[in-house]
Amino acid sequence: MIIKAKLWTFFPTSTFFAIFLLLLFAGNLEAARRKLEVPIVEGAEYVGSETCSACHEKEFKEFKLSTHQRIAIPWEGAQQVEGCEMCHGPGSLHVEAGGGRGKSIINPAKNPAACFGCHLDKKAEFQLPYHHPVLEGHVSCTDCHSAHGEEIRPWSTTSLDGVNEVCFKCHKEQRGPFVFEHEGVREGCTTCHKVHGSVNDKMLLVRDSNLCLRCHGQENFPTIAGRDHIGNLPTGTCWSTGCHTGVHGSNFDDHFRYT
Amino acid sequence: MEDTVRKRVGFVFAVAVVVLFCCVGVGKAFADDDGSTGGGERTEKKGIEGQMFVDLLPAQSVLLDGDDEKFRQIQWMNNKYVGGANQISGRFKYPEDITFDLEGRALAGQNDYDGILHLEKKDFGFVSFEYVEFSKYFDGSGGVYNPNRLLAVSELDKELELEIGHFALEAGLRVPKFPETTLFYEREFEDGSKSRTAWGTVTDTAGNGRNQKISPTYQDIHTMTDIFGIRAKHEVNGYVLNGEQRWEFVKSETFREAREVCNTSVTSTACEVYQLSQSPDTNVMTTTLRAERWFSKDMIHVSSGYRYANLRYRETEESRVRNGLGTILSNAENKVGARADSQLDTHTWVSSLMAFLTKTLNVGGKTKVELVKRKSSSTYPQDNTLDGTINLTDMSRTNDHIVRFGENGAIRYKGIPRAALYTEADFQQDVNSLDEFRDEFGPGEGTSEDFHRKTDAFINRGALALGAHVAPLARVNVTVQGRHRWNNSDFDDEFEQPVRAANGRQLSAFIESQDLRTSELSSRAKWTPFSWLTSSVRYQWRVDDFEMTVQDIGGETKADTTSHIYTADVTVQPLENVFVTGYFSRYLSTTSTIAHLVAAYQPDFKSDVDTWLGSIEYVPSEHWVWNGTVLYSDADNFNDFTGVGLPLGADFTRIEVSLGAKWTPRKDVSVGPKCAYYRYDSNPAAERNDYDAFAFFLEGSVALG
Repeated sequence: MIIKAKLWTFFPTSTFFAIFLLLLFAGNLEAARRKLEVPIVEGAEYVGSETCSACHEKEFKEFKLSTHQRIAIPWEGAQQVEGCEMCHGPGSLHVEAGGGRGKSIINPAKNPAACFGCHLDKKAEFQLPYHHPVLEGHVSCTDCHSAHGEEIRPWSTTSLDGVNEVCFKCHKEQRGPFVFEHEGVREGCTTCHKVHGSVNDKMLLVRDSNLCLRCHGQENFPTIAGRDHIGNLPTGTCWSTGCHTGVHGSNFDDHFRYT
Repeated sequence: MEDTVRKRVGFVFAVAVVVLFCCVGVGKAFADDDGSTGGGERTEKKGIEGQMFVDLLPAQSVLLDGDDEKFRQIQWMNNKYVGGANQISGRFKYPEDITFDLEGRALAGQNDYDGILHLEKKDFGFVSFEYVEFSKYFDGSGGVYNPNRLLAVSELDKELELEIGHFALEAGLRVPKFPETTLFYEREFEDGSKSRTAWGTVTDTAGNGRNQKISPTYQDIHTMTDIFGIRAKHEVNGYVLNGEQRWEFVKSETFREAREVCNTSVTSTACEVYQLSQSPDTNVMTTTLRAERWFSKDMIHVSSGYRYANLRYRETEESRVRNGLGTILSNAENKVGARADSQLDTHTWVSSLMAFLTKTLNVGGKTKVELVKRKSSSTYPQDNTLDGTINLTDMSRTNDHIVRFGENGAIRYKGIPRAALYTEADFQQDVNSLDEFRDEFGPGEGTSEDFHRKTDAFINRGALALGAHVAPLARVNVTVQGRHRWNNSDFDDEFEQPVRAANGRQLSAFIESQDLRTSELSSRAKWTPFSWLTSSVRYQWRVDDFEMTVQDIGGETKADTTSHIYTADVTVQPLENVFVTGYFSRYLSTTSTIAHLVAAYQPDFKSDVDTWLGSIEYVPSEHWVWNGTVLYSDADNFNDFTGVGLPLGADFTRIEVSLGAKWTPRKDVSVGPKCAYYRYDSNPAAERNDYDAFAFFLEGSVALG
């Protein structure tokens, strides 16, 4: 009890003391510190998108249409950065060097740190046991997302690409078209898969039969589609061998069995 | 095998070209050097200029205690000796505006290769070559079912590794005032084996008498894809015209095996092995045309595009059912010469307009029209005893006609100081006419699989988003977005033969109607009180609601997935030579379906996980950098309902700690040893593949030129 009381008195005192010291030296420390804003290009300063447009006119114009542009705040004199340097980092050294591929400039296609600067949650998802190998350098954010394009999302209701097109680039075996299609796949792969990373194998949103029962539950459950599943559900997932293994679609069975 | 050789040839070619250019480029740079050794400084004489950086990993070694397959799967790292180069990059400038860039990585022992060579002459064109190969490792473990006494767990006696990669060649003309023309060829490959979660049956006579689906299964995959085409771009009277013609040929062979595990006789029919061989081939031809133009001093942008895609798909399939000794059993799942054909034609038109009405207000709109036509058919012959007599054949045919419309509207406003506001709306309407036919014939034919049904599906989907980015203070900014999505499907039976049976097996599209709704809120606040301290917090909330009505059953069934994601990070430089980052994420997700109301079946499923990340970098002098990282991840989702079901929630603790140093004796040379500790500790009731591993890395880098 005494120890507890001492701890309570010790922590506030030490915490306030630490904050006091930080504030005391804050002003002096300012000048000596490097900038912590991500993305970092050591020793470089911001030059503004107009400077970038001298060489990268196409990208400059393209960005005006992009999804990312809608959150850029035009505000001179403050530390908010608008345009190209939001993701590519300060460009002064790149400009001084006369440009060059990856020269004193951040390429988010090679380094996802620039994306994680804002999309923190995705950084954690890529750390989960089952994830796309972005941190390992085998896949980059730009493989699925067009950062300069009109749509940052891989798909929209008005995009030329279909709902799962970006996934089928690598996962061609799921493309079909199958004789018997699963409507769930038409809703999009993300209906069942957590595509950045998951604690569940195969990056599944849900690892058990609840995944399917979200759409295939019915009032007289455990009857599903006219068949009583009372003996099946306790044994494993809906897509276990001998059951509905062809969850992405089947060429031979309208219930996706044995495929 | 032949493809593996071809693949290796591609890699050897890539390495040879890299080495050749390195030798020529660096050799020339050094030959022209005046002897100065100033690291990183450019060497320039006789117009040749070269710079090169090599980051070597001469040694990576892992000491592992525990499940090596799980280690490889989670860490994406081989536990064998690994050595090579983490990064090779270089840029060489030659006379007449010729530049050569190279970038690569080659880690032998880990099958991790990546290289890009790019040769370009200004105002003429370029040639580039790319090679990528890496391995994805899989754990061959099945599930755990503790009430089993003898067979509570099972494991494959096969190492699962899938080699994935591609090589690509691209050549383009970039002559001013002529169309930009690019020819491209790419070969993608996938070779090896992967795990599947379609687990097989485990029968343990000493258990509680229930056969559980926990036996691991795998699939061998051998896929080759050839892609080639041409793309062109040209500007005519301010219109930028783009066109691409592309062909893709995918050839694949797969083999799947699901082995039932039992503690009875291996010759028993209760302990079967199911084998499936599939050979799907796909040919895709795509034509894409786009045109865009800026009008009114770049105040209005208009674009339009059209794509035609023709896809032809054929699959052949064979399946066998054997006993544990490999003897083929008489079984209805013995299929021979099964074949399916599909053809898909898609026409898509899109158009968009974005108008910058004032400096602070822009509005946009997009539309899409799509026509999809699919014709598919299959035959599925069954030879129970594989005596050459077809006992039954299922013949299926489906046709789809989809008409799809999409619309989008967006407004972006930046008229309020220090704020950017936006709203966006998406809509889509699908009408899908589906015609399905299935007939069973042969000596043992029945009628239970026969049907002919026509269904019209009407699908309305859409999304509304509203968001803002505000910077009320110089060092504070906040982003917030709310989004609501919906997807309403309605299925109407137009024709059904035979008429719906009492047991419902012939029900056409047994879902009568379905409403999916997703509501999301995400917010982020970032605070940078000093140039040496920055922090941010983020919160996301998402609810996916499912509501459906099933034909002839009535009532509305509901299900939902609710997620909360909390993230926070802080980056601080407390001393001039110390740099610290900390990061925390809490992901909470619960899925609830009708099954949880019936306690004996399936409780809610949770995917909760906490992740902590930290790193520190200490720079005691200009020659030394010390760094350390720590990752701690904890998931606690095991829910013991083994008495009535199979719990599959993730339940583990994961730790990664690394400590490294980098010594830079010269500006252009560095050496860095690093050691790391990895731990995966799972709940033995949920899985049994723990590991502890120590890894040692020796890295070094050199900058040339």
